[in-house]
Amino acid sequence: MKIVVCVKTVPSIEEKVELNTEETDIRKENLVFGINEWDSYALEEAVLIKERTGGTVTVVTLGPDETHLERLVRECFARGADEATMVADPALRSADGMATAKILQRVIEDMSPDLVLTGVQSSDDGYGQVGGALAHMLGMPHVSAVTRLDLKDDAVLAEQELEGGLYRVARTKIPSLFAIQTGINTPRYPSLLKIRAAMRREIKKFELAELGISEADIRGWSAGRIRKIFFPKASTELEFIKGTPDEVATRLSEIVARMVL
Amino acid sequence: MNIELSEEQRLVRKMAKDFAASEIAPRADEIDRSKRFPREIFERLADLGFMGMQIPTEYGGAELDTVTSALVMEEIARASGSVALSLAAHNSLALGHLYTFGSEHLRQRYVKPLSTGERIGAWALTEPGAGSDAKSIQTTARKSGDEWLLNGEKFLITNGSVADFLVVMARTKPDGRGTGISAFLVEKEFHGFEVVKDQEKLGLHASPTSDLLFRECRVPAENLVGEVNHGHQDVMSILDGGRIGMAAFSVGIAQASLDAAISYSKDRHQFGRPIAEFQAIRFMIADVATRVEASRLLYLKAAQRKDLRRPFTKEASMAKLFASETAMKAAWTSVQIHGGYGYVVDYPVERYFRDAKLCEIGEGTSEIQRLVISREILKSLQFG
Repeated sequence: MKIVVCVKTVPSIEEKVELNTEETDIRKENLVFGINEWDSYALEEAVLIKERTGGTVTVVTLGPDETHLERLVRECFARGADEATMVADPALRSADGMATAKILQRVIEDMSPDLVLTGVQSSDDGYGQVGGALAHMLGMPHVSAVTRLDLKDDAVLAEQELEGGLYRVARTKIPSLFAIQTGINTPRYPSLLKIRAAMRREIKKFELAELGISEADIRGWSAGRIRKIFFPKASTELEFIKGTPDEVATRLSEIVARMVL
Repeated sequence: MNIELSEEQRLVRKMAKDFAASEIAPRADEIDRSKRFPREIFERLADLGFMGMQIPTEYGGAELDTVTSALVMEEIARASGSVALSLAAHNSLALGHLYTFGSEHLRQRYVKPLSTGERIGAWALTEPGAGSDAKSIQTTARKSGDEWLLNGEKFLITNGSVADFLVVMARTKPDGRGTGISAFLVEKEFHGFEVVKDQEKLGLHASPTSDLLFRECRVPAENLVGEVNHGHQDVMSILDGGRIGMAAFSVGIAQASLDAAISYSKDRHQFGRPIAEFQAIRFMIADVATRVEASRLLYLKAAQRKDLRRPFTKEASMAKLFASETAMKAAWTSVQIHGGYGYVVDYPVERYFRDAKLCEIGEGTSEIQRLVISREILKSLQFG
């Protein structure tokens, strides 16, 4: 069983965040980075599957800061990953979920994985796009918000969390992609020996150019551009939007557009 | 000068911090109130390799350097002083002494089960009449055939009542002082060994502090740790290393006190605003934060010197002295900032306050640290 897990390093936001001068992002220089919570469950699930069925767990990550990525990958090794590929490039600062999925596709398709696991979403941008988009690009079936995975031969039963306290079970075949929900397992603490061994493992590192990707590609692949990021103003105004979903969406977009401009 | 941690040191610290915050801190008040040694926490610590931090892997340890194990000690103490104290007594005193000075036979037989955490260790030096004056211990060991017979009492021994294996110091030259001390590995099942009681004490209630009795306690000859009559020098060397751990332990309690003070002062409103906006509070926090940072740098420096195999006696004592007084200052300040809430048990700061006092007493009082530091500095002036 060859399992690929997509992981992201995110800032832990315990203190009040500040905006950058362009108001397009938060200031990240002094924030502490660590593994995205959903991804830590995805990694643990992959390691549990490997422990039951044998095989390898490969983590794949990308981002603008090589130091943060390398720390993330070392932590993944300590938690049971066997191999790691990372794409570090300052141009990835502007990559959204769609661009991220596209780059992950380039890295992952040659690996021919049986299973690809992602987190449902990331705790910073929270797009929740990568799992679904990547599955489509890899031509794999996809189940999101997975709370239980059962494998038998090449069949996979995936329990999925729906809204309103409902669950459903989907049946897919290997290869498939699953976006893992928190709570599916209990991520382990790595032992000191595992941490020490993690420091000596080899990491495959790429820059965008080595994958044949340019900064223009990233802009092109990104589904949107951040125009402004802001703290919502405390307001006493309240509007209940009624109507069909289309009417509600139209009204909502008018309000948001007014706030941004 | 480089004072950045290595990536390995950072990751170990992060993991220790995450584990301590999620698995130890939420239980710290309960185990303190029920005065219960938390075996379940020590089993988890054992699984993760924290019970043999500095022991080579071939003997079941994690082979961390002194800097890294001190960082771990700080993070554990930040969550629970009791757990950290028992861990320190096991790691740096009992296991440290046994591994450093014990024969290959003792290493094979005792070091491995201690460093994998299957067994718990204690280190028994102090007696009712021998605290700071460690040379004056009265417990005796006399050779009888293939055995040593130990007689005497030990006092205030951390882990004494929960330990499986104890390193016990005893006099092997009956009428001498200092030079006639040796160390022995005693198993709790050995005939003639008895736990008298656990002491009731001010703080650190989940870490047992026990009185022990040895009555013709029979110890096999091969359980002599180190050379006969060389125990005092060995003890002093173990205490030097132990002080780095105690300094880190102190910084953990100080940091916990500071964290609580910062968080409370932002949340607590009086006179229409958070008390963190009052200069009296801000300056208290600034003073404590500065001392905590300085204490951390002191213990890291002492630990780094030990790792580089350079003399570190003075640095370890300075770190222990300054950090322990910082822990007391930080806990005092945190209780003061919490006001009435700091005096009741609903907030953890009253626990920090009770736990912090031990820092200034255990493994050499502040006065002994000043004695050691001045002796190191004024070496050339031959005096007492």
